[in-house]
Amino acid sequence: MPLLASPLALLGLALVPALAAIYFLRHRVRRIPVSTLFLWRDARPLPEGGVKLQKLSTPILFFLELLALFLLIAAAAGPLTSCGGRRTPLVVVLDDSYSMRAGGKGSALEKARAALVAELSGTRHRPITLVLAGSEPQSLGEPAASGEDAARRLRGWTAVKTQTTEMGADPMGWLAGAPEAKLHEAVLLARELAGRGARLLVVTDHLPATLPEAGAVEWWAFGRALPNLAIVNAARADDTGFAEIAAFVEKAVETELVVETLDGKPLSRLAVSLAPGQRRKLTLKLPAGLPVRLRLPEDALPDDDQAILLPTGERKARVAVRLADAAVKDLVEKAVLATGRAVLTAERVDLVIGDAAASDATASEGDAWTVAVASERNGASAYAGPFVLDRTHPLSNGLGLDGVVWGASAVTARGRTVVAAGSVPLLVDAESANGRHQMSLALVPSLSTLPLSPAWPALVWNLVDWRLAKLPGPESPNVRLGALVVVNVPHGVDAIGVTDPAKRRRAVPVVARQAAFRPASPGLHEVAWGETRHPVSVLAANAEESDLGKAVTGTRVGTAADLSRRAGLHPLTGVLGLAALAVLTLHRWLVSRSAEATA
Amino acid sequence: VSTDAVRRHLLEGEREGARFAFVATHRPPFGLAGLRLGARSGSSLEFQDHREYQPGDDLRFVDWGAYARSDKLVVKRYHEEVFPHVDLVLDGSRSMDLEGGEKGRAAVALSALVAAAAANADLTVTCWLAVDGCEKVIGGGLAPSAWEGIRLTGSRSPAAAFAAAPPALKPQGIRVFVSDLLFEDDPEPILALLSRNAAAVVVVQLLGAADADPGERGSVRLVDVESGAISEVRVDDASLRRYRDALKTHEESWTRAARRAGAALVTLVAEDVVKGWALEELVAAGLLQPV
Repeated sequence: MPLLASPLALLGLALVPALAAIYFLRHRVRRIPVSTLFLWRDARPLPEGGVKLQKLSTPILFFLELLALFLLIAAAAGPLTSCGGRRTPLVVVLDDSYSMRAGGKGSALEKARAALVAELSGTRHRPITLVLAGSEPQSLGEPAASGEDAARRLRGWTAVKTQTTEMGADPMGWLAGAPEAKLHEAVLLARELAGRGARLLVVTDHLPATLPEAGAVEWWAFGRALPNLAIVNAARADDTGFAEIAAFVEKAVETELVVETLDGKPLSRLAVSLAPGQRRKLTLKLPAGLPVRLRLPEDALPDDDQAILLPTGERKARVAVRLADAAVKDLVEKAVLATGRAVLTAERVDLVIGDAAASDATASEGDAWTVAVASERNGASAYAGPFVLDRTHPLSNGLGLDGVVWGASAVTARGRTVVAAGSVPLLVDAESANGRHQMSLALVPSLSTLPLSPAWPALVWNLVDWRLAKLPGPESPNVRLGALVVVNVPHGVDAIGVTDPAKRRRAVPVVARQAAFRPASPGLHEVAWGETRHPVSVLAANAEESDLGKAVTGTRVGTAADLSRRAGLHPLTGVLGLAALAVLTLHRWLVSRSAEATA
Repeated sequence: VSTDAVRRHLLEGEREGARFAFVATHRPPFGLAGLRLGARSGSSLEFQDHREYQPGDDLRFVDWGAYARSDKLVVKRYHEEVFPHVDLVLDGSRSMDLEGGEKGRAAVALSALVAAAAANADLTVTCWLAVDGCEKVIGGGLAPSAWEGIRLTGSRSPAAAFAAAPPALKPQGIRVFVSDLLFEDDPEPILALLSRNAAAVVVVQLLGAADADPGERGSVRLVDVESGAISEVRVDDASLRRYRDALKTHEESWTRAARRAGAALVTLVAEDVVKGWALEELVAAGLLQPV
């Protein structure tokens, strides 16, 4: 069947019998009795004449007009051609935001998956690329060679799988766990992947006001406008919790926020009244050191009905100060303790600050970093500057040495110079192959004003903070969905395991003693290597995703021209119009010639 | 035209003819050859007046006495002798009863009217019908309503009918020929026959409106009602223009021939004639006058 952009134009075929009737009536040979024929001798006889040939006497003008009429009607109907049956690529952009999961089994995700499987199973487009529109658009593997292959992939992504992926990549396919769907960026990516002439299909739960890409994109929506109560924000500072609850409803609601342990034991309940569209910020008293879950009654979108807040008590660096000079030791210990983020200890130390000999002795102690302090006065000089700082190094963060007198002898250790007085290195950092940092600090307090300046505690704070940041474990136990979770791991660990709330496990490779991943779904995750386990709570806190009021079911496919373009079809209207014009021109020429002959 | 219709048309013509009188003379007839004097100069014995001799005049009419007195050649003019009789010849071909118009009605009624008008002028009438030949109408000397055998069904042209059986026309009589003249034959023989020994010849060309101005356009099958011949033509403005030109040329040939034969030719359109029977053309031509 030919594809027509405007099949209603075929109603114009009704003009054909009208034209034929006009010609029949016009060219019907009527019998007229006359008194004589000789006066009509100069009249133009009919070309064929004769009664028996009357049916064949329709002039060529009639056929030309008939042809022109057919051509014009065909042009108006907008026939589309596939240019020889060339198959065009198809790129499907999948909305990966968690709002797609609203509605349970009848969610937009499930409906869209079913619709896509049906569409792809019968499509002739080749190849088929799936693009996931989450916080960052990304292609889901190699393009499928056929619609059946792509449909098989879509069906398979509902199963639990374990696989290893690149850092930050979504491992599970289309699970709709992203905190947002950057559809526009995804369409741009799809356009890059597909090139011109491809069909672009966006599957989501809402419709845009206007079709992007000048109508070149087909938009399918499977959402439903549902009322939803959501925790759109949650945070914790040890024994104090913070939560923001939003009511995306049309009527005022009374609800209850339950604070409970992770095994479901209620700790407190808080009645909350919310007007339509209202948001309420709540401050909660939480038990220190205990993970808790904030829970609202389950509704259309369960992902935003709860938030797990893990204790965020600051870890403290275990620092050992092993300096022989009591004055220097006292100076260092005061500065270390002043940070409030470190404890002085001699066991399982994370950082050793000591004389050069002591530091060397601790070089073999696990992962402890060392700072070798050279404080001998012999051969030392007092430097008033100019001081050169490596501002890219964590130790120089916010460090100001203007007006400072720094007494020291030059550091002879090799490494990256962090602070130098002219060409004299004063603080050097060397990183070993296993990631440990061995720093050398030349400082003679009796020749320096540095201990009396704000630069000294700042330098020590930087040191402690840097060490804490590099301690094994997640950088933060509570993260928002879509954020990159960075996990520091000890030397020798190649990969960590990440288990999501659905107990799906995947391996994340370690690069430079860090593993990073983007959680695919909200809830309590676990990162592990060896015997070490760290929980990570992922919060689905995005008010725009929780607002289901704009979700609709429908399609926006653009104009017929858009459809044909996306389908790789090209209209023949212009060609048919030109043909009709040519026929009419020939008709006109014949009429003119006939008129001249008659004259 | 059916017999009843013919009767009806004859009565109509007779009735309308009562309003007219045929104009043939201005005074009572006198002379040997004729009982009435015509308006024209002729060869009767009644002297009319003198005029100067012109080449071609009959030398018998030169007034030699006047020549002796004035040394000028003058000829005597005598009143024409007119026999008080009208021979009315009606074209009986089928074209005179062209369907779709008033031609047949007008032809029959006009003939009756002329006959009635002639009777009003104390003229006798003989009605002839040119069908296959020229045949005398039964009761043609009586009032038109008594005529029998009038029919417009002839398949031959009047020229052929005249050639086949010419009418026995009375000498010095007035001849009136009613026809559409739409035949291709040379008008000269007919007019010569009509004008031979005629006091006056009047040709009344009676056309139907469709003859004078065909309005049909498009593809038509023209059927000659007399011969049955068919011609399929496309009628457009150009065709109509050529038709009117041909008709005009044909009428001009008749006009020229009539002038040469001393006949008067009046063209009437049937539909105009039957619309009130004013007959202004015939009155203007001096053939009829109201009574």
